[in-house]
Amino acid sequence: MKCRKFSVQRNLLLWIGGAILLVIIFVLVFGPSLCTHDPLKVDYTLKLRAPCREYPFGTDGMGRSVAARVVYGLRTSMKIAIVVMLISCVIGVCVGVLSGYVGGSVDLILMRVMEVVLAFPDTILALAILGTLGGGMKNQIIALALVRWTKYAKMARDETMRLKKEEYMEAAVAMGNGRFRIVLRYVLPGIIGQILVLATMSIGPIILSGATLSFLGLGVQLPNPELGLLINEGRDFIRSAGHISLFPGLVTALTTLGFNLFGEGLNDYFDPRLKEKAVSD
Amino acid sequence: MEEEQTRELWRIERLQVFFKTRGNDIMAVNEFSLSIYQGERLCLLGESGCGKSVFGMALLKLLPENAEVLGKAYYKGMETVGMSEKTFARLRGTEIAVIPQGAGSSLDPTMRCGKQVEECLRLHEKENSQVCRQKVLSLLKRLELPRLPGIARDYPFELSGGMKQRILVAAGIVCHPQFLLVDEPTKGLDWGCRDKVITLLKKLVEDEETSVLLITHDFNVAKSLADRVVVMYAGEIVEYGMREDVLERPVHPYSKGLLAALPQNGFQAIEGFSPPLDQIPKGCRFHPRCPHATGRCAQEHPNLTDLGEGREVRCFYAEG
Repeated sequence: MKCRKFSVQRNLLLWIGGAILLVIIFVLVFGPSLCTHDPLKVDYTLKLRAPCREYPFGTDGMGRSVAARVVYGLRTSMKIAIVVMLISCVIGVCVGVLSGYVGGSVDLILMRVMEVVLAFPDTILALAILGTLGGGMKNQIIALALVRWTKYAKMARDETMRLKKEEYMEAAVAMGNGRFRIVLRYVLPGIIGQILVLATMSIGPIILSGATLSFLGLGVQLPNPELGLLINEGRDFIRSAGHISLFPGLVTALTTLGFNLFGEGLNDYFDPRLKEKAVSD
Repeated sequence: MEEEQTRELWRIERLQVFFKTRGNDIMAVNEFSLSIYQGERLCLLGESGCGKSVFGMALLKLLPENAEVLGKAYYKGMETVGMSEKTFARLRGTEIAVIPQGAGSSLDPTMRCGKQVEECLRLHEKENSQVCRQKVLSLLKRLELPRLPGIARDYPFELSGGMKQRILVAAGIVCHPQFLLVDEPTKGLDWGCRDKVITLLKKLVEDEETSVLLITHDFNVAKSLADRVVVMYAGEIVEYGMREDVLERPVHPYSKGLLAALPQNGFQAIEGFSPPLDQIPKGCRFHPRCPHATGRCAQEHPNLTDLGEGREVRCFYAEG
């Protein structure tokens, strides 16, 4: 039964996504030791080389290895994405569960706050926050987290309200559990699957919006590599040496795709309706 | 021994439950007065929608927020209707426990079965996990669950309905409560499972000397478990007394009708349907369906009349 649930045919997305993620994790962990070139070392004699054996992704306008910069850039982007995901997840789940479980005026106020945040397009709000706080990686993380928590809050609230109606919640009250304990022991385990899916799926968009902010020059500052920043760097050479933007762009796309596929796969895996179908056929 | 048996555990005085709705308030339970004694097994019998579960939930203060409870209920002399949620929460689980209805949905699907029983112990008795686990396992064994101890590590979806119901029984009784509310323990179970659950439940409450309020619509369950039986109709008590009296020699026309409707007594269904709770008929609530109804029944609302020997009935023409 367990093998069947994990079998390749039944959950193709999970496997493809997982494979891409494995490659990315491999690069994140071992990348720096595989790179023979310093991502920050400037050498104008080597500038704008096309991809070759020595420089698989070519070199940029200052003679730095694009491959090395992409590897380090991916690390920075992932670091930002994971920290943003964790912070926004914690804020969102706290707000959502509180709102859904307590209800009443607490729910009313928290949801109105959330709607204010939701009313702005994500990137514009992040830009506004960054504009106020100033650039840099730390502020980039804060801005993204402040924008993204609403996604978790919405889902956590809906799921909590759904669980609250279940009979075993009443049974838990009848057993003499306090409110806090019920949330901790009965509500959170019930919504964790959905939250996990959302968290995985949100890594891709976070990398994208992180890259957007850096591309616009508001996030990570030069000369540190970050995927969006790298794409921006190649902009001046887009006609003569397209590889400088191409490879960071490809890696960004692939990473996003990997996380999204994996998230979709997890979603199917946790979806009880699909499980029933799998059993019946 | 005699005195011990007659000690009052609950004294319920004129309990009323309303549900506030957009239109008018709906009265689900009307003027319910009853005593439950220590160690006795009382059965609340009635058809669906007559307010029996609502009464049970009102007693445990588990009703939704739009419900209003009037009247008084004393548990060991403590008034509980007006008691704060916090104070009452301390009684729940320790002295007062519930075995909820709906075996399928009353277990947390994300928690292992053994753990769910253990939860209750952990909450109220400060014991270490090893002791708790042993207690749970021995209780599950008494409930004749198969595959011990492995079954304690199973999730609810891996168990059958009867097994889930027994897990619920275990969770209810694990803390040795003095009062146990059992709400439709046989809902959705087939005959075999039903008998097994009832027999085991009976054995357990007899061993533990627990007072039980059993809510059911099943005559056979009432017959095999109850000492006293209360028959409810449309939110009211219509008859109560000892099990043999009520179930074998009912006085109220409704109880008689119920008995005649049993398969072994010839399937003679009572005419009509029980009224919706917002359209309670004037006079005796049963009169539109009663074969013996007279003009008086349609005008006056009968009170409970004492027939002696702890037996009361709500009918003008109770011949005793």
